[in-house]
Amino acid sequence: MSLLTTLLMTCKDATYLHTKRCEGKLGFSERLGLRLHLLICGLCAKFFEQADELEKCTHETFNGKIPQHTASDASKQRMKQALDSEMQ
Amino acid sequence: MSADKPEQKLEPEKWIDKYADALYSYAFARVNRQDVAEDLVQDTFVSAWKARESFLFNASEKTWLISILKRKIIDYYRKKSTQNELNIFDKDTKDDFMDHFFAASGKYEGHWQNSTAPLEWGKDFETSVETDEFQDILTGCIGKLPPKWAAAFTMKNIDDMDSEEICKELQITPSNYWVIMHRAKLQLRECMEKNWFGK
Repeated sequence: MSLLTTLLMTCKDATYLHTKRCEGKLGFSERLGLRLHLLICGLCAKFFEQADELEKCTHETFNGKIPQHTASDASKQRMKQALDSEMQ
Repeated sequence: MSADKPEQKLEPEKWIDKYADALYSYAFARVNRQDVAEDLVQDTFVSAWKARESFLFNASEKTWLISILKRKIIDYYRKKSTQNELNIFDKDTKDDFMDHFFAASGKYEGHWQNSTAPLEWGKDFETSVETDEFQDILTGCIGKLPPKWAAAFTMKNIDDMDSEEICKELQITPSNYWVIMHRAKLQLRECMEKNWFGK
């Protein structure tokens, strides 16, 4: 991408950069272009904010804050049988 | 076998009662399918028994079992990747997925479609995260992602793996990874908006 096309990126290009930004992997022109785009595009700004939050939610939801799922009794029976037959 | 046998410290007859729920929760959060999660946990117990001599006493039984389960989940994702998921790396294929979100041509090419552009959300995150319903909807939305996208997304956001590690495990290039994450986030955001935040 030339500098000009990077600076005038579309929403499709901008949203692609969300993960790169999270991981600190943006190049110089990408960073500049993205900053410019997010200043003028409210929809992408919203996408970035919501995507950040969703990642945070996912982390919190699946790292202990929540009640655990339980395996069904039937599946535990099957596990016991499988393990028992292996142990004999 | 030496005098202090590994079996003395491992208690396989208690594994299922002690760990089946924890392992199942771990697997379910990542594969989002009950039958698959149950099978993976069962395989984990059997494999653990077979590999009992590799158990190191400085690790806990549970941590050791989880590490075996982790490998099984990654193998599952690898096997599950379909041709459909690989097409997205081919620039010449018509891309209905992206066209759903962004105009394919015209004056506004590459800009949000009116029908799928992000909306203002009526619910906030802090209170959402606490509820069971939110958890179910999030699990459901992650479950609707193609397996490799779900894998990349959960490895990043549940397991805190870095992208190099994820690429290695999923056997994809860094650029495949950016593409996958882009799509995963577009789809997940839309799904959560429709089923939770936009309601």
